[in-house]
Amino acid sequence: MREADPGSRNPPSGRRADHHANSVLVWDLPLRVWHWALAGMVLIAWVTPNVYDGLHQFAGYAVIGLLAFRLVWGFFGTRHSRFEKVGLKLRAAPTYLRNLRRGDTGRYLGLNPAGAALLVAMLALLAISTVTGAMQVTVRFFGVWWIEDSHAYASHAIIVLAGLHVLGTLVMSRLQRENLVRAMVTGWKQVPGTVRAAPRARSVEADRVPLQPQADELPQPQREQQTRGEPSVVPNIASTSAARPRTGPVGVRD
Amino acid sequence: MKLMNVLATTIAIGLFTGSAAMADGYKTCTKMDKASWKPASDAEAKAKAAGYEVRQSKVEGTCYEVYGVKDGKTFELFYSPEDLSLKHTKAK
Repeated sequence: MREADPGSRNPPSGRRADHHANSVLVWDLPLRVWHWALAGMVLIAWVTPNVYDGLHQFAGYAVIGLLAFRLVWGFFGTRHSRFEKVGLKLRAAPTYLRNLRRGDTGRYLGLNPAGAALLVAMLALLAISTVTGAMQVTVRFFGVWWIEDSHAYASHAIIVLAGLHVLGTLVMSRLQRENLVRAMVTGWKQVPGTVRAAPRARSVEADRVPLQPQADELPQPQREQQTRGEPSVVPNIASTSAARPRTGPVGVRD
Repeated sequence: MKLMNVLATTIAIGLFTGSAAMADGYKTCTKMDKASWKPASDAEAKAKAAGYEVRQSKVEGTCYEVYGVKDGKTFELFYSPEDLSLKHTKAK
């Protein structure tokens, strides 16, 4: 699912030379600030109800502001901040979760389908929690039981989802051998397939030069070409699927 | 990894101070056995008599917590189920 993306604010391929080789900027700065600010505010709101009303309300209003920003950034942010593929990923989520039990984590630069599902659920619950919370402090809705209950249930669900999110991130970090927490701090992620494939890719590269493919190894059309005696380009052995080195982001989904 | 340490420490401190702060709101009004408590409707009646518009009441710890509105302001009133004395008033 890699496509040309002129609207992206990432540098064309998002790559840098030195220590960022094979890395790509996935989470833009505003998204990262948003993520950690939200985490902080949810944490504050979680521990302050009934005790520190002022702080609790401040956190709630801050989350409303953060939600408003996220809505805007979902349309105007960089590639992985935008909502455009969330619908697609949501539909893929059930299958993804089933495959996950077999250890197939897939390769995603941005959110995986489970992450996208969690994002949607989280944003909805945050909206419910903050709106009902703000309603509770109005005279009109103060002490109205269903407002209070909605606020409590949505808020508890947020904490459960946040726990799932942390757990999922840690498990995925282990499975994919990439520190995803760090990625949400720095914004950079490894291009899938580059880390472990690199040495093997180099050896294939070295082998390629002296190797002359045998005629019977060639795909059918090319063999015909040769037998007809036409000048032919020596086929690149790496282009046959069996020998293709996994150098680039082959099969990367985003 | 320095970055991660800073982050982990921050979260740990946050959770620690947070859980310490968790020590809830007003909760203790009586030591009396719940079976011999006066009915919650009595607490609501008392709030009404004091001029509050009662929105709801519930048990909070060993208190009756009554949600009342008076002069366009919102309050939580904590009554003792033992003798219906007003233990605590919290302006919301």
